[in-house]
Amino acid sequence: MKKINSSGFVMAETLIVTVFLTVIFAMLYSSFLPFAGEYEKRENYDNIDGKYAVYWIKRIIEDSSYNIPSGKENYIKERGYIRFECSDVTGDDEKRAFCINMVRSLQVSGCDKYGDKCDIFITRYRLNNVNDSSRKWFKEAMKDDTKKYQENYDSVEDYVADCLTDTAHTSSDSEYCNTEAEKRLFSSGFRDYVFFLPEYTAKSLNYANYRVIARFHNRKDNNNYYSYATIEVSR
Amino acid sequence: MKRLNNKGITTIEVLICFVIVVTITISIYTAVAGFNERKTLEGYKEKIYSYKNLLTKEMQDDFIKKGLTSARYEKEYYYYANEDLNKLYSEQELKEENASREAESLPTLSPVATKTVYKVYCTLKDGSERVLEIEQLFAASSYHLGGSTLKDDEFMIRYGSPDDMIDWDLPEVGYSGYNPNLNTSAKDCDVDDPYRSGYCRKVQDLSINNVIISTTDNILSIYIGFYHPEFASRYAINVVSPINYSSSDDDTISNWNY
Repeated sequence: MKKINSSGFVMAETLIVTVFLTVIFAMLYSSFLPFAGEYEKRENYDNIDGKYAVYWIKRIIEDSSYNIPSGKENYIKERGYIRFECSDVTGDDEKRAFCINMVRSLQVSGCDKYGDKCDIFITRYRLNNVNDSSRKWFKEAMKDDTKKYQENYDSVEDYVADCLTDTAHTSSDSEYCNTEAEKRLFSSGFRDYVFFLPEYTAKSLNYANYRVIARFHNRKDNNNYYSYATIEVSR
Repeated sequence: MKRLNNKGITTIEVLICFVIVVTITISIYTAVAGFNERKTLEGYKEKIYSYKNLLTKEMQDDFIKKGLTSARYEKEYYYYANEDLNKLYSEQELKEENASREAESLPTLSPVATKTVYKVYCTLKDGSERVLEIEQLFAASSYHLGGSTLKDDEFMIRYGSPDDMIDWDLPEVGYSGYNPNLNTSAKDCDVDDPYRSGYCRKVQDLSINNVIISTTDNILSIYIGFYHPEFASRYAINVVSPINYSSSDDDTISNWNY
């Protein structure tokens, strides 16, 4: 009769199995850990302050005094978005002044003193449609490596020249302007937020065809963090 | 008959396995304990968020649905005096009380704690009024060394129509005791002890730390910043609303087709 192996496990076998199990547990732990970071990031997505803030921006966009300037009418179709700027509130000086004060009070990031260059983007209501390549969708635009200068200028030099004429900068700031020109138009935090959003394939219950997406730089009370919010726009 | 393996395990094998098991247990325990603490903090966050969301919605509902036509802001100081720690005097009341005491050659009252009260008076388009009151009194603590040594922390937010204001008690997210008169470096004391020292102050973990209110440029901006030892000044109530804003009628809007 065949003799059964009855010698049990040797030390080396036990150690190998233990190490193997430890490595598996460590891998599982490290793959679950980023969820905590993701959760913390999402605390700043569409929180109540952001929601009410974009609501008031939406009210300005839905007002007849705001109109997309000529020459930029095709931006939403070709680029997937158009940047909202208070300079485009043209019908009413009081409303333009209100817009400038409002974006400042709402702590919208990126705004200059004219309420322009704010991180407020008007897009179509739907953010992506893989079956429709006749137009650019906002989520696709996020994947492009668009640089800041490419938004309104043909070259870095043009961007820098305009940047230096800004009263906030002096000629010694050319290094700053050059660095800014080469920065990505959409920050990694902004892209993360847009990718987090659904595609909004179902139609809006309010028949809205557009939406506004904004980034806020919360700096009051020694804070320094960004938050993001979106709301539909009926125009 | 089959012979059983009766070799057993050696002492060194037992010891090594024991060390491995202990090491794994300790590392897991540390991770689990960390998550447990995190769970408590997330519970606190949830309470703060619920409080902030409900109060913000209450105010913005009025400002959006009814419309805000005007807003006025005042900051007042009230005092607790040494004679009766439960009676609150306004600046004027304290002056008058001390004037009458001086006239009668009685000892005057001296303030032992100051309560700051921020008041925002809002008028809505339907003619109704809303008042927001924020009360802030700091007890002496390691965060507010200049706080009162005789009164505990007192924070309160009230909101509503002037004759029907609702108290919005800050969420309970822990408290501690602080006795500035202790000679030890920690100065911790047990506020739940019925025989606690008269200088042992109850310090709330969540305090109203920074209130910034502005009504300039036809925009009402209310910032009520909270402070918590774990979250610092990360959480706040932040309400921004235009004053007397009117948008164009729907008929005048040109619809886009981009």
